[in-house]
Amino acid sequence: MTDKPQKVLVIGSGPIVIGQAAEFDYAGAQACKALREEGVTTVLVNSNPATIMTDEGIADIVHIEPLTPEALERIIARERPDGVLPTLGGQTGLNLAVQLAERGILEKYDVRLLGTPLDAIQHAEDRELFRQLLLDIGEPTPPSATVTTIEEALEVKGRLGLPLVIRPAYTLGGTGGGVVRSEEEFEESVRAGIAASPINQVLLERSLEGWKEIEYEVMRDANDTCITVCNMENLDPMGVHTGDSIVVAPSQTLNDKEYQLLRTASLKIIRALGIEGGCNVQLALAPNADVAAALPEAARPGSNLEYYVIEVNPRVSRSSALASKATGYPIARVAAKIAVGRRLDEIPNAVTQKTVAAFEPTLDYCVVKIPRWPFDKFPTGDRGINTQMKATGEVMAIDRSFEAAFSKAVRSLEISGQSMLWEAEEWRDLNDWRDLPLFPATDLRVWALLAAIRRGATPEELLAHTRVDGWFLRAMERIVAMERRLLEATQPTRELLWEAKRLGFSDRQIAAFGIAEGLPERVRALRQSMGIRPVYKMVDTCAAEFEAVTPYYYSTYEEENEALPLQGERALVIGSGPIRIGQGIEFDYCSVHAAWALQEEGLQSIMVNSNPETVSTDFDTSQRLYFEPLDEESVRDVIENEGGEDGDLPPAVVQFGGQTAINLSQQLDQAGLPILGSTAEAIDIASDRRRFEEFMAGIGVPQPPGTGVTTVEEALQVAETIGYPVLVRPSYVLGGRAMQIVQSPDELGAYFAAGVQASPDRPVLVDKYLEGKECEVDAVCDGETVVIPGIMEHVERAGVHSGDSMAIYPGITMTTEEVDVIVDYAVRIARGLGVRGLMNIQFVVMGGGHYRSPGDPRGTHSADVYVLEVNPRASRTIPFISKVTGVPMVQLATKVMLGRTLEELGYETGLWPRQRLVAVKAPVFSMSKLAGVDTHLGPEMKSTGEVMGVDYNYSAAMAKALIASNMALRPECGVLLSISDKDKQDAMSLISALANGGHKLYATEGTANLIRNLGFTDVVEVSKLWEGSPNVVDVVQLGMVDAVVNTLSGSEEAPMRDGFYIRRAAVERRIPCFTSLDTARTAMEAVQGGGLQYTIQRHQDYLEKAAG
Amino acid sequence: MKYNILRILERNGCEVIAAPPGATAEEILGLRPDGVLLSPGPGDPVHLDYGVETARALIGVKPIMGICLGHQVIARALGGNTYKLKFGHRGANHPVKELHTGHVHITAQNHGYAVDADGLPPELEITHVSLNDGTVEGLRHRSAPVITIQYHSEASPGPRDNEYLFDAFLRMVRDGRT
Repeated sequence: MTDKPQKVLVIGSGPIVIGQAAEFDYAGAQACKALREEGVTTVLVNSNPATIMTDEGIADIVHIEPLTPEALERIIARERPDGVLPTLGGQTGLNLAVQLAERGILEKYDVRLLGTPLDAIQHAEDRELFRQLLLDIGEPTPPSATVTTIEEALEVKGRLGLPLVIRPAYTLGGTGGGVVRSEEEFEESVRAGIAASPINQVLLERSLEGWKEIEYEVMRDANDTCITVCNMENLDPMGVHTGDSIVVAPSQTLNDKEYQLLRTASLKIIRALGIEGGCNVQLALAPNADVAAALPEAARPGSNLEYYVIEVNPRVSRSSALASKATGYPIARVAAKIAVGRRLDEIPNAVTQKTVAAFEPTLDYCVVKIPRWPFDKFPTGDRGINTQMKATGEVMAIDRSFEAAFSKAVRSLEISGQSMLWEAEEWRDLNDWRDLPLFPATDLRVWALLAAIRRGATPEELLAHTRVDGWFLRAMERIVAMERRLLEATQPTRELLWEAKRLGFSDRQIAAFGIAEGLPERVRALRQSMGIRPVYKMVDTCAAEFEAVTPYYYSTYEEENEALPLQGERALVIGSGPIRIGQGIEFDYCSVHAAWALQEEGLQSIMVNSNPETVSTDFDTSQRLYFEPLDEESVRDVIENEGGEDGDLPPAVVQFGGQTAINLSQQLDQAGLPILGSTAEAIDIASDRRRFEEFMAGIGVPQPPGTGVTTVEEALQVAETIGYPVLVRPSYVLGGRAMQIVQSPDELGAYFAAGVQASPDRPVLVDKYLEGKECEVDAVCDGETVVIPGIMEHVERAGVHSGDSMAIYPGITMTTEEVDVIVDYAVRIARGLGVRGLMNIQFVVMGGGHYRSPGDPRGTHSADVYVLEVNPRASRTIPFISKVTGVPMVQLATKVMLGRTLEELGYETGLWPRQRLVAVKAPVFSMSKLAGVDTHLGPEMKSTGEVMGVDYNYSAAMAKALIASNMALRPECGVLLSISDKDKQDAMSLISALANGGHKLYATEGTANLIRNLGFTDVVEVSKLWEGSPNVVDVVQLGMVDAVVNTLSGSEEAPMRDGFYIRRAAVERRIPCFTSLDTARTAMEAVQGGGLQYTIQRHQDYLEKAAG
Repeated sequence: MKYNILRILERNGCEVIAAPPGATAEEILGLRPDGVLLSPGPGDPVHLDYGVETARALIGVKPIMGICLGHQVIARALGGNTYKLKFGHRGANHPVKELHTGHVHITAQNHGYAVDADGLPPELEITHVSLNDGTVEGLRHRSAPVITIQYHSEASPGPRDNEYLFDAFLRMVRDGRT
């Protein structure tokens, strides 16, 4: 037994990307708290500012720095921890820890790897070592063989049959891999695989498509005690990434024999690996006989107990976060305690506080997780779901039956207009249900399955076609049967409504069948008059065997209510639902701080959210947690439940949960439910275009000319008056959905023709597009005092969505005059609206120099400032601005909502003193995961996460932000330039600087001419995509360049094609691809400005020195 | 009695003879077994004087394993007491700590009575305790080949973590033969 470490480094997971989301903030925050309880000093490093874990009060020491071995070595040298915990920061954290170990850095500074040993990590991560380990302990792995020639491949095919999985060795992102199903494609696919592999080797593996995919979450301590926290079954069988699968917990179609068989195998594996902490084991189990009969012969199992071990994750994971929330068992917390030497039977169960962590949770309910995909943002993307995960987030719902949990999960997705009843337009004309997108699966599979059942497909037919287990399909059949009964009901009886609610039907769904005049509000009144209200049941880890101290709740339609209203002062925080592009982890950060601030003020906080990945849904963040969809019905039900008999309704906090929560403000207000902070009226003025225009005119603050329209004719007329280019978008948008810069009447017509829906209460906004310097402020206001912590200046000009822009604090090129105007406008708006709480304003500054480099401020003469947008709520920059100024925005806002004044909290109106630090927020994209999606920046937001670079000067802060977001330009690397005509003038200074900086330049014809005219004759001209080699894509794919600068021409049609392939190639090779000259110039300046000589400093110290 | 107890013994190469609960020690010894397993069963062990008597006569004569009711009967045979639990143990997720290794095993349990840790005869040693309520879950005789457990090492349903107890029993059986 080794000594307990005194000081431990915890590595975070960095920015939110597909496959690595908020679950690691949850895990890391939980682990830091657990380590502090053990008396261990925690040092946390993460590049993501939008996390709770990087906040004061979670870890003892915080470093917000790029997650690179170089930065980590410097942190280790400075902090001298005696241990590092590698298993909490996702794959990023794990890989970094392995790199630190392999480079001898851990040894050099005498740092122990805590918990799971390096050897276990290597055995779990290396495919060959893992295979060998399984062989040694007699656990089955899918039959496979490594081949280097076609002849060998043919021999393997003869032995294993088709289908076969092809996995080329050492390729990134599965290039050249896939499933081969037919004889015809076999040889060609093998040849392509061999060619794709740098060592000309491929693995051929038996395909297990259609088998059940089961996961176990396993824990082990240093004394070899092992338990399973829970198991989970994927509704989507093998072939779909578990992150893209609908998952149920516990497994629903396994009998005890199968369950225990796989449980025993999982324990055997965690023991053989020697993991100390948590581990996720994925297994493939033979499907039921009916599904098996429909599989190709080679994929058919020999017996129904046949299984294979697929893989393990020797760390906490997305699945472990889900398992934690599904059971109440805090895996990360327990894993952290194990890592510092505790045994499972020494760790108390935090939910019961009487029993210990050495037990297995029992579930008296069913949990359903559904992934949230970004295809509402990327309609052109490849919607197929398979082995590459594409979901950005997920929702979880709990109920007593699968049907009800499934229905609630679909509601929780918050895909506008897409209830369970949704069907695509084109499905209406299909004659055969087999033509629905059922198999191979897409993100629409849920709706396609229900649509097929509505068209008469039986579970037997569907399981053969889709391989989804019949148990799930029969449950869906029961849902569709209820739809039919509701459709046929003229006068709905209590029994019918009760049964519908028990199956998870929302009031809105019930109304859709014409019940209660088709009005959801009437359905609500009707069912309530019949005494049909939800009750709430506990998640308590033990199915009520022991008393629970910190349980959380889910709704169901039964008799006994286990969530009696909390007594005393309390308020409800409405969370932000699943992580999606435009609504990320920032809003969970805000929700958590709101809950904490309520507690500081002596109130009890009640959280409502549907997202299992987050800190907000941790069992001890609030006094009470409801796992519920964030729609009107569920939120009203929760509020009414908490109101109890005497109707003492808790007020709702709607400013922190992004657009999800703020949108509910109007509905709650109409229902007569109290809201804290800015009134529903104020929120409506800020959101309703016409009212907002009047308001702005009234207080004399200019906006770009434009207006809201409801028809295309009106739009054309408005555009004609204000002049092109114009910016068009629907009102009430999130993350710039369907927003576009339009250059001509034709394009404007096309925009409307593409199915944008406008109506009098939801008009389309047409504004003059001003291509100036964009900046934004967040402010907190109590109705009188308006505190602005800082101004954030965007690197990219207006036109690039603010969520995709780099933002610099403080606004370092802004003149005093501009700052004064911005502050004045912000104060006028906040007071005018009567904001109580937070507000975000986006400005565009015209004039003052066409381009102002942060490294070379040229803006000296006065400029015009316009307000682009006002959001009467927390914005995505709140965590960033709070961290870099030290002004706790959410705490202040929450306290203001409760009636405190900013003055008594020690703040006065105006801009908070400028800090000496400089910080840069940079977006991070997940484009390599999303085939078919174009990566260029524009008014539509595309990034999934963000990083922060902070330092004492601009170049260093920018360099850190670029490194952390993988956008840094390598000194003297080759750069491919393809610049559209309209940007050529603007690009000249960039070209000169690159060439003078020693970069080898490659360019397409027009750009190459420009470069030669500038006097740089050694530019390499590359041919167009289909015209010989090396062409534009070759130079990227062959690694001749390490960065691409490619700007779009005005029209987005035909000329896009080459550009599209260039950009995709850059994404696949994971090299920077700049589609805005501003970003490219900034990256170039950061390299040349000596930014690579950055500081490593505790975040606390940056702030303190800055304040001094 | 669960069939899976018989299956596990058979799988380990035993010839298994099932005797009725009323069988006397004499009758059992007449079958010339190498070991005796006292099976689970329903009810309050206080009423099982015949079983207690049989067990008492076999202790020290043949290697014995007691499961559940069998465990309680053996404790009583040596002078220990049993009592009714306030909350019975039911389910497949009960953590039990094996005291001499410190390992925790997840066990399948289904019992309403327990052996009292107080007043246990000196020849019996507690080997397993429940982590949920600290009650006795396993015993061992300090000199005779006797092991007992309160829970269902035979699983089906439930976790298979506890088959090691059959291995321990069969080791005693083999040692007794040589």
